[in-house]
Amino acid sequence: MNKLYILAAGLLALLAAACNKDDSTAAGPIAQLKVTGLKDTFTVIAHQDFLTSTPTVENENDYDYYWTLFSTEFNAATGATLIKPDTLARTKDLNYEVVQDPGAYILVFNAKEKSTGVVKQVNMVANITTLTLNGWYLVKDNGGKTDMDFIYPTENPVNRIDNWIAYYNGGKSLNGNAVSAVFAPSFRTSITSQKYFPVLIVASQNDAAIYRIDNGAMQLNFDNMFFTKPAVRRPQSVFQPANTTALGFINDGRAYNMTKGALFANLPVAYNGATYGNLSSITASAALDLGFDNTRKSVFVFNGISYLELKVLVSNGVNNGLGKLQNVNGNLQWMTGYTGSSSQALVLFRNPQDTGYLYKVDGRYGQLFYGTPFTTGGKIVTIADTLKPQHGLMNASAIGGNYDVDLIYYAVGSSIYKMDVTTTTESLQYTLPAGETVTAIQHIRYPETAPTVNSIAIATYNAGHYKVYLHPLSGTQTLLLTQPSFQGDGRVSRVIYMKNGVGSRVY
Amino acid sequence: MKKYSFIIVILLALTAGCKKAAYELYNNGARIQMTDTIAQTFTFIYEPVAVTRDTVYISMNTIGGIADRNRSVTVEQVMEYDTTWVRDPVTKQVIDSSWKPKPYQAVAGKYYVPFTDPGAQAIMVVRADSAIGQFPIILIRDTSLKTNSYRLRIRITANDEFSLGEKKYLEKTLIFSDKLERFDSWKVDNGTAAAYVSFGKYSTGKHQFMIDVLQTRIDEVWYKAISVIGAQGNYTNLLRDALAAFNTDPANIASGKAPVRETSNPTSLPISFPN
Repeated sequence: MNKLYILAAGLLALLAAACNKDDSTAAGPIAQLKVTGLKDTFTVIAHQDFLTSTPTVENENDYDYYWTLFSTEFNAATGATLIKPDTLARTKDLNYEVVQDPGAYILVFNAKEKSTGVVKQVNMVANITTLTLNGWYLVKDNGGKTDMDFIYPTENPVNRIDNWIAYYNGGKSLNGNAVSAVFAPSFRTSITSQKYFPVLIVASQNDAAIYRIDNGAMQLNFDNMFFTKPAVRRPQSVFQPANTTALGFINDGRAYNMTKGALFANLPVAYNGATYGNLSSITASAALDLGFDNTRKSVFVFNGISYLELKVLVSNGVNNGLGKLQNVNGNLQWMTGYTGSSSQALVLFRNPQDTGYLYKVDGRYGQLFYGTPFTTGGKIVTIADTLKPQHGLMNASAIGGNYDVDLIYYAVGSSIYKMDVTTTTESLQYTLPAGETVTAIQHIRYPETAPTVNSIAIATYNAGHYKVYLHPLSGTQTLLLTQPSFQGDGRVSRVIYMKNGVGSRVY
Repeated sequence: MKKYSFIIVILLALTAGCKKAAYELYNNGARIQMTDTIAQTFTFIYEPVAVTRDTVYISMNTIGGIADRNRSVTVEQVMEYDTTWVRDPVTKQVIDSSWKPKPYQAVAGKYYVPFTDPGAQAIMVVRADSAIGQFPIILIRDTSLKTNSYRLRIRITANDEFSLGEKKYLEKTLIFSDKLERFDSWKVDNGTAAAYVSFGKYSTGKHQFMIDVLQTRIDEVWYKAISVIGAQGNYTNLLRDALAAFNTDPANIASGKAPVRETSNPTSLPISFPN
């Protein structure tokens, strides 16, 4: 019996020892790639620059090398096929002339160990840009034609493309004086396309067109950008809503909305008992876009392919400011809207006696879409000013806003004024040289968060030539006369600053 | 014991014998059934006057494998009936029922080429190497189709090539005429029909109004084309504005054309497009 126990114990011990995890590694150890001299980010201009890199690799001869470039434009959720990269080189050193479309790419340095076939990769970012994606676009008209002068930063003194539209489109600018222009991101040519690119949409008195910024090519023009082409060619306004999948257009008193990838669709002329057939050219983009109907003399909200009327959620007969914006006794003089963190608008009316009414409007999404909750004291109009006919603002030829502070800048003759919205106090900033009339005042502020460019741009016109003055804003927000930053031929009506293919909004 | 065991054996055999019939599986031969049982519509209205016949295809699904030759399909026309129930006035229970044939049912030879016609039979096939067949019905453009829509309900019959598929999918109705009919994207008046979402409830009055305003055929091809480019909202707004303009035109009000109504009956509802 003892022997049995000993045998059992021995076998059990054997069993316990037999079950061991196998920690051995099959092949030899995997090589660690040691490479230096690779940059994290490359920024290159297509058709002009080369992507170059000469990394140093320890044990260089142990590897085969190749460089690949992946586009970041794909829909990961629906992409059923593998994303194929471009192979740029099959050597350790890279010297590739960039010809890809602009955008963000992932550049991969691949080292394949010859003995094991294992590939080690190092990812880097390559921003491919073109000349036209960085600089200042000055929308102007000259001799009855609308075009843009493009000024870009380089060391070379000749650093502008005058008449950019004609330059890229066989010498053809747009007919008629300039009416409106905006930068529009995320444009695409069909509703299923995954390739997005930024565009500039420019409207003149007789024509309108959408231009791809990186190569200047016209994407759509007045004849083919509508589902139902309007009978009358009279562009009035183009605006980019805060919702970047949409684009707004006003022509001959009627509004149109484009979902990018499709064409401009009609908005109704009559909707829910109100008419929208005599729309003003003046719009303001806050969290939603504000428009004005000249027949009903009321401010309303553009809501995709229909409209919303401004409303209060609870009405007890007390005017919370809504009455100031509807059935106005007067005409709309000027409006501006601030999207993003600011989300407000400024609206200026002039009554038949030339008295002015300036309102600051709460432009947040909830207030415009759902209505202002009166019960919690919410007001659509947060500041209401009455301006006498003698006030400078009522005699201004150009007006511009300030995104960060409740100020307005305007020109009366050749003098530039600043006005506090809360107090309506005017203060003269400076007077321009004789003969110069102001054609545009804009707050150029880019990017929206932590702006690196934060200036008031003032465009003037004198005998066929324009000048654009840039006034960097500092604490006091005061403007001082400087040397003009840009000059050229024609009359500038809009200034758009662009960096890395993203353009500034119009304030 | 033997006696009892004999009875027990018989009882066991009995219990083993009474089994519910097994469900049919999809592996015992070729069968055929309709793809769906929603009424299909067809109209001659867009075709030139010279066209007197046209073919409508009814989609049918096969079960079982595909074959490398054409396989014939046979159908027969079945009559449709309206049922009226007679209820006891006190207990509300049904005490009698009567059937009446539905009006305007198609007659073979006058409204459609009979299914026994050799020319028709030659094309009444599921094509070689296909799992889905398109069953042709050749319709004849009788003049009475201008005033009324006619119905043809067909039922698949078993033949050498195919036995019958699922019971609920053996019959289908085709409604056809020489006037405006619904098209596939507007086949019902609820959210499952894309054209209902764009244009609202279907009526011939609305359909004719759309043709008059847009000056084009308003059919499945047109609706698919505008859907692909995302233009539905544009047309909804355009038609709503056109309707408002038409209904407020004094000349139209005076002549009685406004408001546009669902049918030519002056008491039918005015049409509207959704907001």
